Formats: sequence, C-alpha cells, structure tokens
Amino acid sequence: MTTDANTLISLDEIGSMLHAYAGASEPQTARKRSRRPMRTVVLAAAAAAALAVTGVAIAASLGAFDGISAASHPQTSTDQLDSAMAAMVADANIGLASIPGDPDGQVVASDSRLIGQLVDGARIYVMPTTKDKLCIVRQTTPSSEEYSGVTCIDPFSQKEPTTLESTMGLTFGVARDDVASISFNTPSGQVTVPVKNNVWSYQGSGVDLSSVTINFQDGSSEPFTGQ
Amino acid sequence: MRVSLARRAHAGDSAALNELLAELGPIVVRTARLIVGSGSASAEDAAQDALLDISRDIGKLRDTSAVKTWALRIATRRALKVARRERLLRLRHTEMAEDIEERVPGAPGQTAALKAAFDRLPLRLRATAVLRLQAGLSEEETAEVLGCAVGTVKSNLHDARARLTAALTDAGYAPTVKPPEEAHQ
Repeated sequence: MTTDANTLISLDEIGSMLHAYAGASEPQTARKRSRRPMRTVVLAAAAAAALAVTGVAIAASLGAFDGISAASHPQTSTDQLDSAMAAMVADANIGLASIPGDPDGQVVASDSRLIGQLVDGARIYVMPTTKDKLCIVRQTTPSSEEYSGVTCIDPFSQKEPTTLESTMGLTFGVARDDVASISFNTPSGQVTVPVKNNVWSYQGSGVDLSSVTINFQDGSSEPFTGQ
Repeated sequence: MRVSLARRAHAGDSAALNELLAELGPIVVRTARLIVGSGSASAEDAAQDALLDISRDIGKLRDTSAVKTWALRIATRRALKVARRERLLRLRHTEMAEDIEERVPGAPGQTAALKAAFDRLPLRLRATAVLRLQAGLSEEETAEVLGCAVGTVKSNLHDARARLTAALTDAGYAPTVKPPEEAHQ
C-alpha cells in the first residue's frame, strides 16, 4: 500500500466527494427497504446439535473459515441455507457485483456452515466468497422484528478477532477460536459473555460499545478497536 | 455556532434549543450519513436519534463553547453504532448506486468509485475523514470526538488516503495527488 503522503489522494478530492454525497441536510423519511420478506420457515433441528463439530478438516474455503473451528467440517444438510436465505444471498451478490473493482467477489452460498445460534434464536451461518472473504449470515426467527442480513469481511487472519453487531437489545458477534469471552459495560455493571462455537451474544439494552474487551484463551485481553 | 445560543439552550430556553437544533441539524445529518453510508435509511435514523440525544442532554453540556464538538461526538457515536450493525447489509451497495443517480447527477466515475471505496473503509478511518474533511473539525477536536490521541487522527487520515489511493488506482483511476499541507490545514 502506498504510504508516501505526496503520492496519496489529496484531501481536497476526498472532501469534495464527501460534500457531494452528504446530500440534503435535513433528515429524510426512512425509505422503505425492499428487503425480501423472510418466509416463515422454521428449521426445527436443535441448534445445539448443529453446533456439534466433527473436527474433520475441510479443504475447500479454509482461507475464509480460518480461525473458525465451528465451520471446519464437511457440509451437512443442517448447514445448508433454506430457499429464503439463499434468495437473500443472491440479492447480496447483486449488490457485491456493483462495487467497482469487485473486491469481495461473490458469496458462495453452497459452502455455508451453520455455526451457532444467538440468544434470541437467530441462526448464524458463515460462508466464503469467491475471493475468500468471510460472510456471516444472520437468519432471524419468523417472530423477530429484526431483519436477516449478510455481512462480508476479511477473514479473521486479517482483522479483529471478533465481529461486533448491535441491534435493539441484542449485541453479538462471531469470534476467532482463540477468543474465550467478550466483556463490556452495561447499566447494571460489567458483563462477560462466553464464546461458544465461535459465537457470542447478549440480550439487554444499554451496552457501552466503546467498552468492549476481547478476552483470549491464554488469559490476555485487548480492547475491541472497531474495524 | 453561536455560543450564546448554546448557553441559553443549556439554561433551559426552549426557543433557543429549537434554534440550536436547527443550526446543528445539517452537520449532524451529514456526519451520520457519511459515516453510516449515504444510501442507508438507518443513517437518517441515527441522525434523528442524535438530535434527540442533543435535545435531551443539552442541560448536561459542560462547556457551551464546545457545543459543536459535543454534538458531533453524539452524532458520531450514534452513527458508528448503526454502521457496525449495518456494515455491508445486503442492499447497501444497490442503494448507494441509486444515490449516485439521485444525488449527484452526472457524477464522474472516479467520484463514484471513490465513494464506493470510502464506504468500504474501516469505520474508524471513515469517521476520522468525515469529521476532519466534511465537518471541519481540527485534529484536536476530532481526537476528542473519537476519544483517541491526535496522533491517531493523523495516522487514521493517512491510512484512509492510502487505502483510497490504492482502491482508485486498482479501479483504473488516477487520484488527484497533492501534498497534505496544501489542503485542509
């Protein structure tokens, strides 16, 4: 990556772009999103059973799944997305294809692995992209007011040891194998949530996201810095 | 930003508070929109939440002369929270593409590519760039808003420029190159 300041893009060009895209200054009415409504498909298989890891190494997609033992098994029928989720991933791929330079590639839904479940019942799947990015799919329950969604990031070998997402009353993430737990402050004091099968979650409001600390298996800790 | 207005609002003058919110509104909205991603409806929610926070907490403001920095700290926190949640949600890029058509008719391909690259920056870099280059905060004020050292602000901005330069170059564009001391100092 270029580091000499004299060869870098000017601050003027960035500033001009930001001003151009800041748009109208008044809050707009939130436009209705055309998210495909989730079909009320309930996968009855117990998540705990799905979380049982065979320990069998996989060859395909190892780069994207690096550091996620819960995904290191041959795909089973439990790992496969239902049709509604597969359609959502197909939509995500349309969006990814529109990014100049195609930095992330396309999500390979056929390589999905179910790794866990959040405290609110949402299922967490991981899958690679054609460029070995790690995509995390959250499938909310039919009764949830939250949307299902896809997030694609660099594999854990190249980024923070955990992801962090926070929605109404729910804070959660997918963490690398060497992460034991996640701590943060809440109005009722500090909370530590264990990582199970690479997934952690906490249900409760008032989580101070600036206080999130990653606790490793070796006893060390570091603050979550927010990529 | 009129400090006298902030003082009156701080003292409980509701008319002054309304006037203050009207003054702060545009910068709060733009900041949230650019940190979250201008195609996201959640950015507008974040801005509205930030304005509500400001309205509710104005009485707790310690230094009325720093009301803009204080307001932007609230807006940035709200925006970062939403951005973490929203990161690459599935419609984001298609909405962004719509915005190119809706808000910047005839935007050159390079500007569109730069925005796309900007939306893929790590959040801390995006927030730093927005606060410095769009909100017009100083390095010291930006550090205060983000809760980091001034040196971190400098390195974040340098990192952002390096990543954006690489992204534009990879996409076949030639970024405008200018020494940093010639711009926004």
